[in-house]
Parts: sequence; structure tokens; C-alpha cells
Amino acid sequence: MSASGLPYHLRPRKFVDRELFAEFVAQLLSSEGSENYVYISMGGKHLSDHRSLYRRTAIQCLYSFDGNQDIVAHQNYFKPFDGVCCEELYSNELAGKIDSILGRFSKTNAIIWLDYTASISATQLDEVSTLIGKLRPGDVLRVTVNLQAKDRDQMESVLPLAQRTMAELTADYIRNITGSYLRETTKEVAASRIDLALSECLEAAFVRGLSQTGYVPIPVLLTKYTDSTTMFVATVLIQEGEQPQVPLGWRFVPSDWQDILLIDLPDLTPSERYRFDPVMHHTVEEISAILGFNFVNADELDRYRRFHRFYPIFESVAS
Amino acid sequence: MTSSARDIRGGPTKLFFVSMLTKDISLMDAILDLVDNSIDGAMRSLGDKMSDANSLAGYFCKLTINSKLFEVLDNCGGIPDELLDTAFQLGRPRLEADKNIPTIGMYGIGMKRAIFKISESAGVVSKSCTKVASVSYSRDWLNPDNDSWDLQIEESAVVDEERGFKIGSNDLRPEISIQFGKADFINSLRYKIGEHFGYLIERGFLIEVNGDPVSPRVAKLMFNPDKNVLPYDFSATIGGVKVKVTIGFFRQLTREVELEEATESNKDTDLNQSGITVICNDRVIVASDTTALTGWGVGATPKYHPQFRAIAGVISFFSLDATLLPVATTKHDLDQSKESFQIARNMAMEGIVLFTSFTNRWKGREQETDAILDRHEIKPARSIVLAEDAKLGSVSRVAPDARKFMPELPKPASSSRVRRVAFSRDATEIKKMAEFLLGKPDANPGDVGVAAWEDALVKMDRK
Repeated sequence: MSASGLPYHLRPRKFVDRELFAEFVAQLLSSEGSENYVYISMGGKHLSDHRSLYRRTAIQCLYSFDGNQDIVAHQNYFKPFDGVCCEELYSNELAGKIDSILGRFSKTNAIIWLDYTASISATQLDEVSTLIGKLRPGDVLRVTVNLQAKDRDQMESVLPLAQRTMAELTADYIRNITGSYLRETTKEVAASRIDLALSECLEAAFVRGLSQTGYVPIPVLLTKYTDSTTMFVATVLIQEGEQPQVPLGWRFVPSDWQDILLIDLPDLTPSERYRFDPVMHHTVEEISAILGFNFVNADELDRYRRFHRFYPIFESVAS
Repeated sequence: MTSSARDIRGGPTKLFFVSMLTKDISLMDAILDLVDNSIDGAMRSLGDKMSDANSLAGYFCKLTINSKLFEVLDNCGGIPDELLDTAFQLGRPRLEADKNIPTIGMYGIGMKRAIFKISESAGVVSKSCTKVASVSYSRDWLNPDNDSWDLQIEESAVVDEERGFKIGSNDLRPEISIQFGKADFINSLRYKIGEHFGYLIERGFLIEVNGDPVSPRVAKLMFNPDKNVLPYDFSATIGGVKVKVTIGFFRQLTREVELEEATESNKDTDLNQSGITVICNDRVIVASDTTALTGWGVGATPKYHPQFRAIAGVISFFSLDATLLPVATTKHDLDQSKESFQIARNMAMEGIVLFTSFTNRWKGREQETDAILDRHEIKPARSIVLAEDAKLGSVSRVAPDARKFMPELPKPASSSRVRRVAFSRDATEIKKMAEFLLGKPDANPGDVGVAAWEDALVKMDRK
């Protein structure tokens, strides 16, 4: 799942995002029972998310797939224990395999993560829509999408000619690559809020896919972070009714599809964190007085505290 | 048994119209029929002024659609007195009723079919200059077991300035109510309205869905005489129908990287604007078609390919007699047997060949065309008049008044000696070559191929 070539577990924002997800799954399974579930995703060479979910949730049935047979061979050789099943499969084949995967493990429900590294496209959204149509109440689907940056000339070259502001151009460009998944009423997309457009597209894919079954995709975690591009991640719980039935202790439920949690960590080395943690409970002004210089602003401090327990620490990296 | 004769009923049943006929049309198309009726009303109100470019400004059709309510409200003049008695009949007793209106509705079933499809009961109110008339389709009337076709019309004097038509129902069929409650359905409807009525919205007609105006989706083409980038244009009158065909470029040429992406994903989006759009009396019947219907892949015309993404065009038919148009009874399909359509398609094929040949001549040198295909020089496809220009167009023999304009598109200064080299190799091999030649094991296969070629060229030159 490495978009940038960096080992997955050394990308701190993605790490925090994954840990948040693992926490949600742990809370869900504490009431639903991990014995009913199988976890499915493209684990990458290191099966990092599989390991994380195993540690956090005790979920025993873990399935990884990849279209590259060398990666699958690597996974199978280095997998942490025998309960992890690694197979060669393309993402567009997954929808047709869900029932057989559940059957193989004798489980009733699935938790699935599709992590797309290529820029968002109608093809990806069609896959998501097809896959979610196979899911049932109690299942969880998580999808990561991104939009790779293009300059004005690059976007305009693939569009019908028109005079447009940058925000209008971005909206038309996203519509050009996603089709009617982007709402007809969305005429502008600000560069700083591409995540809103990605959220809109994913919401449409989820709803479209579930339209035949009548089930509802309840967003339980919506996050965005920046690696080389803006990543947007939506996690939904499939339910029968509109009223969200999320675990009581889960504090990150979004109020709607625009309520997106930004994961933006201050850039601190382990030794800096070691020295900062004892004072992080103070106010911004007090911290500045203690350290002798302006170290963080209010937003950064708030984010640091909010995600503090999810940060990668030495033990997490070493595994 | 002795022979005898008796009368039996040979007429239609309510069941057929209320339950069966509604199956012939999709829910979305049924709603489009209602908007279409509003536009016909606007055209009727305009009379002689209907051909002016912005003549529909001020007229609107407002749709309110949710799980509990369906309403269509317009200000397009209402039903004229002389048509009131027959407007609510199923089928049009006189085909001359809208003889001088550029409509595409011929058979007088659109409104009724839509009401039957959507609601268990509905009300209709028409406000013309002279009277207010209302008709109620009750649950009892719509009951398939009730064979009575009589309707009661209530008429009263006009009390305000409003002139228009309203259809409303808060008694929706359950399956329709579910659809209307879905945001995705409303979104798809908006896109479809923008596509089907785009040219009429451009003429000023306002269509709103739940309070939000719908944006038009219309074809615009590059028009740059200074650089010889002009569309192919054809016009003629065939079988009483004015025919116009305009084909050209609407964006810059497809790049290699786009072609690679297209190969992997294998499809354009559902809003793709490449291809040929067919319009009858300003309504889009077929949008952005890339199939044999509009000539792609027929005879010597190339089949559509992502290489041709920059090509778009419009085939436009216009007639005050809707029965002459090549449109099927559903209003959302074409009657391909009409001579006007067959000739128009042949002309579209000529235009397609012209522009696909351009892309082939410049293949591998697409970037050089960016300066030629200037994105600032654009015009709405339907406003382009080249064939009929006495200095530019020439006579075409396909019809008595047919004229055609074939642009002389720019050619590369030297004929392109660029040829495409494409081959498939094992992924492990590509990765090794990428590491070896570029130092990047995950480099793009196309870049690896180019690096390998250039390396071989250097070695060859040294020998």
C-alpha cells in the first residue's frame, strides 16, 4: 500500500489514520464479537494493517490480496502467523469473491479496506459501488482515494473549452474523471478542500451501490491527510436503518459527509516529543514561556493532543 | 349452432394505459416529457419570436421532487382554450394541433403517461389568458378496474397574472416515492435534464430541480480561422427537415499518458463529451454517441478510440412538423429509417474521418498541436455557420439545397515519421530495466521503454 515508496509504517500521518481505524474496529468488535469477522485488504509487502488490527482487535481471520504475485509471495513468506491468507487478486475481482472468502473462514461479516494509490477515477468508484452492493449490515468498508495535483494547463487540456476560475476548473476536472459521481450542483472545488469533493464522490458510490439492497452506509470516520498528495479516507458501517448505531465509546463519528478530520501532525523527532510530552497539557502561551520560544500554535497543539495516543512509537515501528 | 352476430368491445382498457403503457418509459424519461410539455407551452406563447437566440428567457419549469411530493410548475402560458377539451385525452385527435411549434411530442400521451407512472392520484391546473382549468385524476379514476374515461374539468375566471401549468401529487406510488427520496436519483435527473435540454437552457429557458437551476451541457467547438482550425459543417433540407452537421475539436489531443490510463480503465465516464450528439428541435435525443449509430466504425470511418477523445459534434434536425423528425415515439431514441437521418449520418462520417485523420497525422507529436488547438477560440457548435457561407461553403449533391464546408486542417511541416513502438514484457524484467537504466524500480513502463530505446541508439551510433 505504499504510495510514495516509503515503508508504510514510517508514514506518520497514514500511521495515525490507520490506528484510528483500528481503534474503531476494536470498539465495534467488542460488542459484535471478533469471531464473526474477517478482515480483507491489500496489505502490501509488510501486512501492516493486518498486524495492527490483529494486535488491537484479536481478529483472527485476516485476508490480503494483491495483483502482483511477487508481493503475494513476500506476504506469504513473512506473514506473522498462519491465520493470514494472502492471494493474488485484482481489486475489481474482489466483489465477486466476497462470499467465497467469508465461506472459507466460516464468517458472517467482513471488514474491508480498499486503498487506491492511483488518482481517483470513475473506474475506482464503480469498483467501490459494485463491492458495497455485496455487503450486509454489520460489514465495514473503508476506502482511500486521492487526487494527484495537476496545474491549470494540464486540467484544461482534457476539458471542453471554457473560461473558468481555478475552483471551477478543479470541479470540472474532477467531474471529467469521476463522471456523475460528483454532484451536478458542485460547480466549484477550492484547492484547499479537494477532500470535500472526494467525500462527495465516495458517498455517491456507496449510496449507488447499496440502492438495490436498501441498506445504508453510515460514515463512522472521515479523515484527510497529505503525503505527496491529499488523501481522503472514508470508513462506513453498513446498517439497515438511517439512525447511526456506532459503538458508544467511538468519539470520531462525523456529523455529516463534510465533517472531515484533518490528520496533520507537528513535525517532531522522537527526542523532541520525549521532551515536549511532559508540558503538552499547558496552554500555548505557557508552553512558549517554558521552552523560551514559540513552538506550536493552538491548532497544532489541539491536534497533537487529540492524536497523541495514536502516534507511532519505537515499538510500533520496530514491528 | 345457428350463426349470430353481436357487438363486443374492441376499445382500450384502463389497465393497459395506467399499468402497461407506463412500463414503456423510464421514470426519468417520463419526467423529461413533462418538462418538454412546458417548453412546448413556451414556444406556443412566443409565436413568431421563437427563433430568436435568447427568446426563451423569462420562461421556466420548476420541479419539486421528494419522497412525499412531486410537482411541476411552469409559466409557459397554460393550455389554450381551443386545445383544452382534447388536451386531457389519451392520444392527440388532431396532429395539426401543434403544427407550427418546434416540438417533438406528437402523440399526446406524455403528460398522462407520466402521471400514471408516478402517482396514485394527481391534480392538474392550467392558467391561460382566459381561464383557469383544473382536472383531478383521483385514485378511483386511476383504478385499472374502473373503465370510465370521463374526467371532470373545473373552469373559472383568471384572477392573477400567472399563466402556466401545474401538475402536483402528494400521493406517489410507493416504488416512485422511494426513488424520489434518493439523492442519487435527483443528481442523475439533474445531469440528464442538463444534457437533454441544454440547448434550450442556453436560449434562456430556466429549469430548476428542488430550487437549484440546472446547468446546460452543450457542445462547443474550436473555431480559429487564423490557424485553419475550423469544424466540418454541412446543411441541407431533406424531407421537410432542416439538417445541420458540425464536427470538430473541443479540447486538445489525447496524450500518451491518457491513452495508457484508458487502456487500463477501459472506459470513459458517464459524462464523457466526446462523440456525436443528435438534436431534434433543440432537444438532445442521443448525447455524445461513439457507436455505429452516428457512424463510428461504419465503412471506412474508424471505430471510436480514446485517441479520438478530442472530437465532438452535433447532428441537428429542425422541423415545425414533428412527424417528419427522425425521433422515435419514446422521444429518447432515433428513427434510423428516415432519409434525413441516413444522409446526416453519412455527413457525420465524413467529418469524423477528417478529424480522426488529423489525430493520426500528428500522432506522437500531440504537444506540437497545443499551439494550434487554441483553447481560447471556441464557439457553440450550433452557432457555427460555415456551409451556408457563400464564400466558404460549396454545393453538395446529396440534396437540392445541400452545402458543405470541409476545413483544410493544419498538417505537420514534415510528414510525421513518428511511429508507435509498443510491446508487452514481464513486469519483473521491466522493474530490473527501470532500476538499471533510470535508478527507479517503479518507473512508468513507457519511460523505461524510451530509456531502453535511447540507450540502444547510443550504442548503435558508437559502432
